[in-house]
Amino acid sequence: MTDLRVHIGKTTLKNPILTASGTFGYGPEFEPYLNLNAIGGFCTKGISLEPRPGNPGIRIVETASGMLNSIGLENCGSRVFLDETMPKIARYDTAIIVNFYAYTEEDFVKLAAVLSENDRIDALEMNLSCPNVKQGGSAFGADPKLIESLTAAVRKVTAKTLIVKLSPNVADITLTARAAEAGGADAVSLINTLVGTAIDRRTRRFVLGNKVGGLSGPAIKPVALRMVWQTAKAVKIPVIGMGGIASLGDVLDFLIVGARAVQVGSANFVDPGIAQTLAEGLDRYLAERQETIDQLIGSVQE
Amino acid sequence: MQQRSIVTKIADLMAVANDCFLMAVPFEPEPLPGQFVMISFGDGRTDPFLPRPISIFDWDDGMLTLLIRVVGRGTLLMARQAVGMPVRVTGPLGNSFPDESGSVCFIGGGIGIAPLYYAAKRSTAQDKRFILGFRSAEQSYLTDDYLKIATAHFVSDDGSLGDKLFPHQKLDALAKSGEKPDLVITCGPEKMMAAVHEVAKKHGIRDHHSLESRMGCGIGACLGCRVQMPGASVLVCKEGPIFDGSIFEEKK
Repeated sequence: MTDLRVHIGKTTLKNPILTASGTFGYGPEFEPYLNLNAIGGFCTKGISLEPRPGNPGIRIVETASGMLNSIGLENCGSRVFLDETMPKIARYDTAIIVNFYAYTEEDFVKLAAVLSENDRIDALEMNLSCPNVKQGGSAFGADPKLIESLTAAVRKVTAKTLIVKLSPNVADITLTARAAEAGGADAVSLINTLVGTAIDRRTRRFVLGNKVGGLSGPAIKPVALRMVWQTAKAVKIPVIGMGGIASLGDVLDFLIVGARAVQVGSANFVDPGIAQTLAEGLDRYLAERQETIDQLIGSVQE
Repeated sequence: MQQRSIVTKIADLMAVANDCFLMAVPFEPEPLPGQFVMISFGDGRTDPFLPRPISIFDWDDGMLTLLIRVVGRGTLLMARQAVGMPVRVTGPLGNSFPDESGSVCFIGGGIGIAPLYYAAKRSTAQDKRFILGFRSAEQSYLTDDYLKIATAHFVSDDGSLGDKLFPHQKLDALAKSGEKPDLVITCGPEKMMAAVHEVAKKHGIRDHHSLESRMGCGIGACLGCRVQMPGASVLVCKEGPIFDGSIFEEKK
């Protein structure tokens, strides 16, 4: 076994393979398919202060090498999550990263404070970038000044590892990444989904109930890889890369351009055991080459 | 029963109608009637990307058989696969049809007949029968196979196969003639299932229905398959796909 440990803020991951929020439920859904203890950690479904029903109508549609979703952050709310879900997942020997979301700065702060009281939660991932909700979300996600002040406000109430998840739906992602760093984030994760849409040409209606949704899957990988590379050069804090990871080759690419860890997203829907397969594949790759994880990360030749 | 996700190989592939085919793949464990699997191409291709939810037509001694209708690009490409090609199968997923020792009527419309073969085969009911609806005789399939499992009443939109009736009308006629089942199990278009529910309610018959929805994962992770039914908002993959008739009753 190679030493695959990487450090994100105060959190040590046993390996850099994480699963992305919104693609891994709350964790237990995947127990039949993989050993959760074999992956670096997982990001929960985005949690809001109060439960949210999500969007009505059709929520997912397949696209070329990917998918659009407009789930709308359906979740059980912070109280049920902390009282009922956390006790079920606390026993996993892996990092629990809680993705969280609010509409206002006040609620972001309140939610971060509530989640921080739970000792088992390893890190918080602040979702500034969901394209599927009408208020907040994307509005926060595009304005560097707002990101910095919001990150600083949340930073004050949590000692946990704080990750800011960035939207790719901006002109220059290094500006929002730097803003998160200036606000005190321990890491940034990117990219969230790209806003897109699909039309049912027979009925001439939008396929998704919400009209627009977030594009994910292998289709977005080149965009994600470029943004992760740019961001890794622009900030000193760790970058967690994601966007279309579906194979060991994809994992290597993100690490090579400078990601300290990666998140596997919609590929979990295709093969619910893929995260463990990737962690084991990375282990074998480095062992065969007698390379360390630190030698691999950021090894791109420019 | 442990679910799993494995890459297996197509053991048999056979067209049964213009737009329907049977695909057999080795798969364990034994599923319950009414459960489904997610299938995708097992060769690492990313387009088509997502797996498809497919109900279980049959399972016999480690061989899983799926009855699939070509409805889009993904199912078309799957129909063009060949024996020996890899397929990823995740399952068995979801809840199951209830069993009943008395009499059960299995009602299917079009491709909705798919899960009823295995359901009737596995049923311990003393009296089991099918009501199977198709557009026409020409667009029907596997009728002889269903007849081997139980009595079958066929109905069609144009009367070219069996009675020119809708499935719920046939159920009504059976119930009125003294052949009222204790339980009806349905799968088919939502309108058909809702109409069957009305007839079942009128005659005091218990009814369970298999719902369909677009799914991303099939295991409750993506939340893509939530549908707003008259009776409730349901996550089809996790809470279903089998629901009792109250799902068609407008919530007060």
